[in-house]
Amino acid sequence: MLVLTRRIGQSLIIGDNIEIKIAEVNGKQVKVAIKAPSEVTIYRSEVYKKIQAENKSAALSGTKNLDSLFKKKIKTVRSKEK
Amino acid sequence: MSEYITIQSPRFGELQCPEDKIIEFVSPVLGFPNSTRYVISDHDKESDFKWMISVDEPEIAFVILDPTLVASNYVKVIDEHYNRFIRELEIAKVEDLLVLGIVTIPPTITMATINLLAPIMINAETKTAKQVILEGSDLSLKQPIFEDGPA
Repeated sequence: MLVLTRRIGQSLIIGDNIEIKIAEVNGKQVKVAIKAPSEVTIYRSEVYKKIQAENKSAALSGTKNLDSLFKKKIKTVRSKEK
Repeated sequence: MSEYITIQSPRFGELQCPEDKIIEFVSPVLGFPNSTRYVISDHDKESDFKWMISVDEPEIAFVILDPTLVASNYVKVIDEHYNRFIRELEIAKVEDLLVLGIVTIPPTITMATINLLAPIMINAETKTAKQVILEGSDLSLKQPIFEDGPA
């Protein structure tokens, strides 16, 4: 892994069209400003990994009988819970 | 006349998918980099659940559901992110936007949940799709679907 040291206000360029700038450093927190084309998706890695894991547990590769699922009534909530 | 693609699904057997019904993911469903093409089909007339079956890897299928059926205020969530959807999927008119949630079905079926945090958005006109993460929201990754589901 490439490791570089940057100061506040300095940036990095990845490829031809992605720029990552150190915007602010506050104790243990670093604010990063990213300039990238709209087709480039940017996620916080812990969120990305969480979604990936959920998708994997949602994917059905077998032939488990799900008839009872399709017959059940859906519960509608007004405000979603965490 | 539409061309058909034949896929062999372990669950559904041989399926004939009209080419013009195939949804193409501009970025794959996270965790499934080799499946970009899917076909969506109703389970049956009575059920609100639908199937999203991978054309590229037909052994992979997801159960999907209109998230507004589970969380009535999800309409507002879609509204809030509408500009992002039209930009990322080049949606021309509101009727073309289709938002669906992936359902996770644990061994106990009543515990099934829907992913409200990262829905699938589809441009019904161009048949392109994307899974979007609605970051910064307090939407659940595992919203219970049934009354007797998880507390």
